[in-house]
Amino acid sequence: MKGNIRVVVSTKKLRYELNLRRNITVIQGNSASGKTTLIQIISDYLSGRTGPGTEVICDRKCAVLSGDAESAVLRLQLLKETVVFVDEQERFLYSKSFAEAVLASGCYFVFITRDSLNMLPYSVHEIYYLKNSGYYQNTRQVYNSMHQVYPEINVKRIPELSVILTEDSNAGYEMFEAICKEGNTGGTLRPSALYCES
Amino acid sequence: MLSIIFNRGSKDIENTNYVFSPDTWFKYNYEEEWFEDELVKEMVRDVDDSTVISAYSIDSPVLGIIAPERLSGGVKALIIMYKEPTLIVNASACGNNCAKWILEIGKRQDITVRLGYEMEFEEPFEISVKNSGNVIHSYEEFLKEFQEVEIFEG
Repeated sequence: MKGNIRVVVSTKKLRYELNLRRNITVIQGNSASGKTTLIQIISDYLSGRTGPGTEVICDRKCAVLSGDAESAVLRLQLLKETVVFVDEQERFLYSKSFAEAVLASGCYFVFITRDSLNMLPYSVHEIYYLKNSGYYQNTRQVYNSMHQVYPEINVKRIPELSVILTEDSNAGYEMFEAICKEGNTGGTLRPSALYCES
Repeated sequence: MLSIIFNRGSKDIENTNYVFSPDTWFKYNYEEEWFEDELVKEMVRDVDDSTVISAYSIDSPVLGIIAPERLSGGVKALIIMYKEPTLIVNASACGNNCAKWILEIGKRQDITVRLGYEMEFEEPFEISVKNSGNVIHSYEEFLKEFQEVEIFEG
């Protein structure tokens, strides 16, 4: 799966709009902001328990994983082209076996957790919190949208660097050496010295 | 005093008194009389913006009249910390809006919580860090202790 995926979750009282940009999205934030409720609504909807009035709109299949680690990993291995939601209350979310299954999967994931998932690669820009923005249009729905915890900053001008120090002579040093040699960075990345710590 | 066990990644707390999911523990173990306590009512009002009507009904501005089982995971964790101080509650179930209440409960009684993220505690405070045995009084010390757990134990 690639590209942006929009998920709208709607009940009589609540409306969530999520825009997923990468394969792993993390939602955290204050207590009582509706994170667990979001997962519960999706789970109830997918189980066919909600009846009319509740909708989960997404052009991909959605799934909520819960329960023991073995079952969650087995189910994940069967899912294709799916947006997979996992709540922080699932112990398997922090397990090595689940992380390996996520890495091997082509699905998109939405994880509700404040703890860092050290075994998974995800961008700081894909860590969000939910914000209640009042009522949605002319309805009685409380509208919740995603906002970045670490907003992207538009850097208009990179400061001139005099020295770049890398940890060792491998990837980081080689990358900056290549960039400096290319000299096509508009003069912003031409340090007078490039060192590696080792 | 408030004691914190910093715990990162996939490592688990090996203690029979550890409550990984306050939400689930609360569902099977909460007691009706807890909702007669003024501090519990205040925490529900502040964190969930809801009013305790009785032990069986809470008035939520978003969800309407709800049962205590539908309170937020954060406020459930706070209530367990307060009412069952011998348990080690997973404070990662609490957002930053719970930090002041964790400090308040820690002022009233000895509690130990597990924490896996950099919760924003407002100074002044006194926290015992179980991992190092240090007692800390500033957020800078808190972050230093937290980072050391990631570097040496993570």
